Amino acid sequence: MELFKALNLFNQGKYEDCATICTNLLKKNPLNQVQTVWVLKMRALTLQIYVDDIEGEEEGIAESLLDNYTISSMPRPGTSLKNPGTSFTGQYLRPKTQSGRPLTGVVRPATQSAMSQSIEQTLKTPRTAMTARPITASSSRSVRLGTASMLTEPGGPFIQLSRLNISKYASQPCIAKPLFEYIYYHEHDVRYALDLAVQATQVCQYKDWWWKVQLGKCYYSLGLIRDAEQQFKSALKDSKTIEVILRLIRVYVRLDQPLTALETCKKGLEYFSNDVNILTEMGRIFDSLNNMSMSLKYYKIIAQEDASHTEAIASIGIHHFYNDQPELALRYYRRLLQMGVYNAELFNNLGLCCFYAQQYDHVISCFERAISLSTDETMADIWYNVSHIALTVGDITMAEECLKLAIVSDNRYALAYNNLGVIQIRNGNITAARTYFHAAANIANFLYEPHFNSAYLAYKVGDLQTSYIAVQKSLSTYPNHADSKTLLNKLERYFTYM
Amino acid sequence: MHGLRADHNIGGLGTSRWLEALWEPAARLYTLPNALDMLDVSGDGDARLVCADLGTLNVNSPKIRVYKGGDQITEHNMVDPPCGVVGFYTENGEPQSSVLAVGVGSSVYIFKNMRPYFKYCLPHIDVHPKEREIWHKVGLDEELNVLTLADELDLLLKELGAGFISPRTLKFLSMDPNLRVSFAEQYKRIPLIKSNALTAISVIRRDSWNDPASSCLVLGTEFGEVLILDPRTFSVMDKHLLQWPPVAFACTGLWTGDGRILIVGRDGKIGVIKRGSPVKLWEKLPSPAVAVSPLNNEGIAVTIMDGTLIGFSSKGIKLWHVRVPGAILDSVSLPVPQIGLSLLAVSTAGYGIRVYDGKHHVDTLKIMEPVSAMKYGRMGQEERTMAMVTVGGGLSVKILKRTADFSIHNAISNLPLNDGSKFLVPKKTRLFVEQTIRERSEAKKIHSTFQQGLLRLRLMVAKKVVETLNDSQGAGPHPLTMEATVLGLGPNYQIRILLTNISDELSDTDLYIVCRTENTNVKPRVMDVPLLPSGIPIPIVLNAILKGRISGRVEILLCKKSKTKPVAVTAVVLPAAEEDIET
Repeated sequence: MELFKALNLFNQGKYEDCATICTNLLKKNPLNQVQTVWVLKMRALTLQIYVDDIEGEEEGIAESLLDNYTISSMPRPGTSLKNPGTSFTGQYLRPKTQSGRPLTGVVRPATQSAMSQSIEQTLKTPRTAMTARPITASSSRSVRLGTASMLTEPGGPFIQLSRLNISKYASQPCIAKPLFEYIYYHEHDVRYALDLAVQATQVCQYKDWWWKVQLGKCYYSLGLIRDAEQQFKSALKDSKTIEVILRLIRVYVRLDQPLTALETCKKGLEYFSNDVNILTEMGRIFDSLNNMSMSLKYYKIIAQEDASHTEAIASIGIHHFYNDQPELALRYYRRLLQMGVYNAELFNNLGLCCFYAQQYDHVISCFERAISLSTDETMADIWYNVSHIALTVGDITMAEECLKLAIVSDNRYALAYNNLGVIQIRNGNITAARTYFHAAANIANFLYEPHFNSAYLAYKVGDLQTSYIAVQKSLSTYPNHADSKTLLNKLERYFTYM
Repeated sequence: MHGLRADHNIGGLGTSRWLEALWEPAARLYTLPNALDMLDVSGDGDARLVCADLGTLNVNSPKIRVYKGGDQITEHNMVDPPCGVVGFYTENGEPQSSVLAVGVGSSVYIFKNMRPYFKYCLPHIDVHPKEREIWHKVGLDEELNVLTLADELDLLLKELGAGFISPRTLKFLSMDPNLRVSFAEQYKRIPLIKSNALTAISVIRRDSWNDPASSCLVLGTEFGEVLILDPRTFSVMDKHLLQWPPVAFACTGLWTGDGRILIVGRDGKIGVIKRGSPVKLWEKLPSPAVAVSPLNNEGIAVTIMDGTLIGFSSKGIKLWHVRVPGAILDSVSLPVPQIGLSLLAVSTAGYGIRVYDGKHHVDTLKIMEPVSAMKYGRMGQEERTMAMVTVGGGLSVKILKRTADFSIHNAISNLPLNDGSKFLVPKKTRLFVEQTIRERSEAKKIHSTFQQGLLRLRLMVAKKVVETLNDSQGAGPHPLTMEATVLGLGPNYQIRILLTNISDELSDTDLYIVCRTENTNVKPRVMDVPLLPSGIPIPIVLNAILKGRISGRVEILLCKKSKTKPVAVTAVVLPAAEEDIET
């Protein structure tokens, strides 16, 4: 009766109650008689904290800096995510996030990671952002899951992993699988999980694709990417599932082989035509390769398949916004609002779209709502945007105040420093302007604006050498910047003048 | 063929027009433009590569090196760094060994069969009469008055400028006054001379188009003269006064006939001389010239240091100019009479050697390193060879294929000039049009709503500013900026604060920094700020240690001793540390 109740609770999704009943049952009877209860408790505990770990992936500092799977350190433009290249630059240049990636439609895993090449830049930029980036990919999950298991088990752990006879359980397929999930998700001990998976897959003579996927997962979280790739490929031969395809794509993205990843996506689409998850991956990869038109194409397919896909709608919206069609972007953001998204970012974007689409009557109310909804993270962005409105209206004092507020909420807001510098030039404070430009350039050396501004300022003051150095930095971050090129030409004329 | 191996496998790719003959990266050859030539020094009909090696910085011994294929056969030490090497024949139509002329310092060394044969010294320049007068007077006097001499020479120096004073005077004036007496005693009776220096050397055919034919040496001097020497007697045939020092020549035609010598000066002047007529100045280049080369249609191509290639007609009219990527290191003309072309090879830093047909870029040679000097001509038995010396001291030899065709590219490069580039401008959507209709009909309402909202927003911003920024920040007498960065992996972090005084004066003295912490130990918590100079960021470093396993937050307050409110506030977040990093 008790067992039936526990099963019923399990089916209803009340895992906590189910686990309590199982604990009681296990106390009364020795383990080998009530193996069913044992397994049920394992399932209940696992499902309590089951996470969709395909998405929860953030490349940590250690991975991006120390691991070197990349085949070529100087890849050809367009074949690597680290060097997306200028082959596909659209007609516009998107602003960059704090870590230097171009802005994407939604904040998703891996949009935070920096493209930086130097160690100092890697350590500096993302970790001082409001959300700190983890050092290694595995730690962010393990900390969370570890605390979960500690809270649920006040009387010591449910299973002592060190005392577990792994080879015994590996030979019993109906126990091995729940046990694996328990070890992997609940205990988060990848080494034991891997041990179990290796023995279990030997028992079933390498025929069960499920074990291959689990092996791949273990290898992936241990950082053995190439082994993981092998396992996933072998699993795909046995059985085609979306999960494995997605995991294989992740492997290629991690290996910095976007073209192979896209190839995998296309093969996956042959079996699962128009699958939203695979299409999303394609959209993201094209996005990070700076190929906006292809990215847009796939996001549009996604929006047709799933009309309430937030990421797709937001990405299409941002594309239209930066493509000088704010009125279209406004449509998409309004759709998001209708879907029930209600946060500061959305109102901020709505306000900007209204402003640039000349729908002035809604601008201010949108920003007011954004300010009232904003958190510490978004505050700086909103003040920065408000400063743009103040500038356009012609109220320089207000713009300056807004920029200062942006810096107060985030003292590493490089663009705000840059714009403050420009305002200071207008006011005639050359020293202040120069300091602001230098501060902006120090914080974010991937932005070309501060470099160009300080070059221009130095040129006007007559400090040609400084100007030359700064303009070269500007051109190295944005090689096609016309104003920088013009300035460089002027400087070269000075230097070659006889 | 001697020594030259045409390796078809390496360079013989279908698209390349060049055969790789030799690549010797460790030749340790350091040469500048004009210091390479190919000539038959032994008289066996086999042209050798002769180059003037300047040596490395620490081993400062210039040498003349002779190469046969890739192997060096002889080496001759030089006293001073050569300004150029040229080869020529002294007789018409007699197949004998050619003569090598090396311009060094103020003389030209002539080698025959690679043995020293003759040394031609440039005539001395006339010393200014006043200076001669002064030294002459000193020589006559029994009593030497050093002070008067020094005063007189100093006056003269101020009057004429250092360029017109003899080295003896300059040396005298730069000496310690105590040593001047002995110096003047030693030299006062020796006649005062001022020696000339050679700046450029070249050859021009004398009177015959046959091969081999005798050629005249063309010498340019620092004093601004061009001397034409007779090939047999090495006496001056003609002398032209330019007033500006020439640095490069391009010679066409026969000197006794209608031959012309194009001259480029160090100051960018460009002009032409003919026998018996004075120099005709064409124009002044915008920056110094790198090299000048003749083209087949009597035209001239000049590469200059601002990265442009300029074509002149035979009359001195500027025909075209092309921008070349990268800095230009050398240029040389590649006459290909078989296909009626005269190409120009331009060596660039970082972009290989670019070959131009007129203003059209037709080919690019990829070399491992930038090429500092090159020469095209006959080497060994091969007519169309190009020898290149790289910046890193390597020697590369390539042979232009007989089948090389430069006409295809020519047609293509003409095309993109014609069509104008198209801009991708997104079309205005129907939505936009509808919105403009709404705007027009409700203009008044929209405007008033916006203005009301703007007033509200202004008020809000002003309130926030008063709340968060106080009067001393920004608007105060000595505004400061403060930016904080967190470094480290944790749990021990370093907080680096950059303080900058953005006013034009010194900052206040009694400033200090206080940290308000959550979950963190900061050391030191209070720190005095030094006097801040204007515009220079001053770094201050604090150490922070997380107390627990969750992330911490540090508020950094910049305060003034007499004030209760802080001058500036900034907050940093210390990320949660790793549980443990296994080592």
